[in-house]
Amino acid sequence: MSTPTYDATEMGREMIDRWEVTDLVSGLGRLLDERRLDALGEVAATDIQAIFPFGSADDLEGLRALAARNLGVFEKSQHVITDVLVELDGDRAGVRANVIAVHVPSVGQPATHFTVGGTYRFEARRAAEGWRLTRMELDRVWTSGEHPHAAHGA
Amino acid sequence: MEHADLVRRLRELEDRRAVAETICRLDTILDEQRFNELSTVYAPDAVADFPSALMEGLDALTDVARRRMESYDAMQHATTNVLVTIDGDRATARANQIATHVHRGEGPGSHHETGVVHRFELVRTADGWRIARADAEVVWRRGTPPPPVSNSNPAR
Repeated sequence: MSTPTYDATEMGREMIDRWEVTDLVSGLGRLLDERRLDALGEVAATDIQAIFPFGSADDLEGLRALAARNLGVFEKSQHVITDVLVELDGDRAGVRANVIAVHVPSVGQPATHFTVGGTYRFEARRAAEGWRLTRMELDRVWTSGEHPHAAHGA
Repeated sequence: MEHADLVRRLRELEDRRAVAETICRLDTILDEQRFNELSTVYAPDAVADFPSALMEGLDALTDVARRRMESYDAMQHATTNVLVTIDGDRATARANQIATHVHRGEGPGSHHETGVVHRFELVRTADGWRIARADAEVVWRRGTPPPPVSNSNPAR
């Protein structure tokens, strides 16, 4: 077995990039769940492309509108994001992650919810202000419960 | 902290990250049905003791994964809490997983879920970390899984 050589500075830089890109994904879930759509620019680039099963957007304003429309039906949501796999390529990064997103129409009835299990695929770019998501895509793998708007179900 | 000590701890962190990534890549390969790529996460002589089958060797692992998929339209293996311990060129890991299997031909709302504790043993190779042994302890289920896949390896 060959012994890998270690460059501590390079290793440290790469680790910081991985943390920062992973934080973008956790941060996105948090902003959505806290309904802080005005702050989405902290994680997403102004020219972000977003593709969801329920619609798509060509920029940050479009993403805000889409998120407002989709999440507006629900009083609470929880985006549990796991398996965040980051592929670094200089000032670009690709990310693949699992998401289990639980949507609660009424906080008074937390046992009634609509859940989507899916795959997120992101692209990110390093900018002067830090890493930002430039593309996001959600593939729906499974659902559980009823969406309050029948058109969204199954 | 002395520089040499810092480098040692950084190397261990990088090893832990790489081991956790190997486990996440296993999930991704299964969920994207890229079964030929199981060789990039499992060692050739890997043993996996899963509820579906006891599998010995990469060929058995690949074969069972392929045949299990015949019952499903899609799967999601969501893994969290990956705890890694490095011991030189070997590593152990423990992780929680919620595995959701969508039944074939019945739409995305028809599935069963299993809460599993995974325990892994990994070895460092020239190509990166590889899983040598994988165990799965089922903690809970919701819904009914199809019957276990019959195994060409009569170990069970």
